[in-house]
Amino acid sequence: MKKAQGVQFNWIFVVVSGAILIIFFSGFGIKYAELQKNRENAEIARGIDRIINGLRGQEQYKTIDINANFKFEFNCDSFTINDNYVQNLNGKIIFTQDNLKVNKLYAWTKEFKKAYKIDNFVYLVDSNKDYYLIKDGNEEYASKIYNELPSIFTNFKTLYFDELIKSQLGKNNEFVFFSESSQDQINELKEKGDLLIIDSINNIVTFNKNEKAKVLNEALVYGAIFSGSYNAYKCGYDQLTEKFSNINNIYIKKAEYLQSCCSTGFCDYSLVKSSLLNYNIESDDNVIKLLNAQLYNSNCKVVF
Amino acid sequence: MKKGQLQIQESIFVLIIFIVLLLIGLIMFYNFTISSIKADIASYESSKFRSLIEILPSIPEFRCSNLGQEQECIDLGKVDAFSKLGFDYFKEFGYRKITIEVIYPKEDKSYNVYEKRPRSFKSIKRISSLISLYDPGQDKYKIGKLTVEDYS
Repeated sequence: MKKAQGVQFNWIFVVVSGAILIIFFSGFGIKYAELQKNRENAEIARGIDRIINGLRGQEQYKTIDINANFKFEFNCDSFTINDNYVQNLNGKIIFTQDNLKVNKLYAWTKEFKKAYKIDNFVYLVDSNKDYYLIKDGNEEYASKIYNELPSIFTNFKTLYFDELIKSQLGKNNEFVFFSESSQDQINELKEKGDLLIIDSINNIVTFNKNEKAKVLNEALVYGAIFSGSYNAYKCGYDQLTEKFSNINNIYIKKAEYLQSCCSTGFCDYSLVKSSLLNYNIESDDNVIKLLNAQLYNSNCKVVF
Repeated sequence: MKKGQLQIQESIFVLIIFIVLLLIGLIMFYNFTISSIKADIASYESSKFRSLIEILPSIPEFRCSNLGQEQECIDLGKVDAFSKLGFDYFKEFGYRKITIEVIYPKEDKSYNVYEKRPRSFKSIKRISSLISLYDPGQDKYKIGKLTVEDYS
C-alpha cells in the first residue's frame, strides 16, 4: 500500500510541477509577445512622429507606408497606435480623422497665413478612403481644390453628382459638396459615407449631423475634408486660434517696442498697433497689410 | 536499489537546476528587452531634443518676416516680446531652457526665451548653434548663439 501511495504521490508531484512549468513558460511567451507588440507600436508611432516633424518645415508631402495594418486614434494633443502606445504631438496642428485603420497614410503640409504666417498644418490622410469632390454648383472651386492636391493623393476624384451615382462606390467614402445640395442628394449619399458641404462664399463647412464650423481659407478647407468630422476639425481650429492669438500678441508687443524706440514724425506705429489689437482670426487682412506696407513705403521698419 | 535511487535523485537535481537556470535566463532576457525598449525611447527623445536647434529658428513666433514674407533670421523684437509675454509653451518645449545670446557685434545681451524646470532632474543636456539675428530697433543684422538645455 505504501509503495502504491508513493507511486501515486510521485505522479501528483510530476503533474503539479509540470503544470507550474507549463504555466510559467506559457505566461512568459504571452508576456514576451505583448512586449514585442508594444515595441512595434512604439516604432510605428515614432516613425509617424518623425515624419510629421520632418514635414513641418515647409510645404511638402510624403507617403507613410507601414507593412502591417494598424489602428490610429487621434486624440487632439496626441495619437494612439493600436490602443496601446500614445505619442504626444507637442503642439503641432494636425488635421486627420478621429479613427483610422490603415497600413498607409498620406502626409501633407500646408501653410496657414493671415497678414503674417501662423503655422504649417500637417494633414494625415487615409489612403483607403475614397474622396469625391462634387462639382455641381461650384465647378471652378471644386476643380481648384482638386488641382492643388499633391500627386500622391490617388484616392481623390472630382465629378458631377450624376456621374457619382452611376459609379461603383467602395465601403469607405467621403463626399464633399461645394454648394448647397438638395435633400435628395444628401439622402442618397448619407448611408454611403461622410458628407461635407463647403460654402466658399460664407466660409462655412457643414459636417454630418449638421454641425457647422468656419473655414477661412483653402488650408482650412483641406483641414475640414481630411478631418471628416466636426470634433476632429475643431481640435485643429482651436489650436490654430490659440496660436494666432499668441503670434498676434507678439506683434502687438513688437509694435509697442518700435513705437518707443523708432517712431518719428513719419514712422508712427500706433495705427498698426490699434489694428492688431482689434485683429482676430476671422478679420479681413487687407487693412492691416496696407498699414504695414505704408510703413515700408515710408522707409520705416515694418512690424511684420 | 539504493544506487538506482541515488542516480534518479541526481537526475532530478540536474533537471531542477537546469530549469532554474533557464528561468533565470528567461527573466534576464525579458528585462534586457524592456531596457532596450526604454533605451530606444530615450534615444528618440534625445534626437527630438537635438532637432529642436534646427526647428526653433523657423517657428513663426521667432522668425523674421518682411511684409509677410519669411526671412532666414530670428527677429529679436519677437524674441523679446515672446519672453516678456510668458506664454505657456510647455506642450511644445517641455522641461527645457532656451536662450539667445548676441555674440557679434559684441554686446552684453542675452534673452531668456523660455524656461521650465522640473522639481528634480538628474542631468542637463545642452546644445548650441550659431544663428542669424535681426534687431528691428537698430535695423541691424547680428550673429547670435541659440542654446537649448534639456532637463532630464
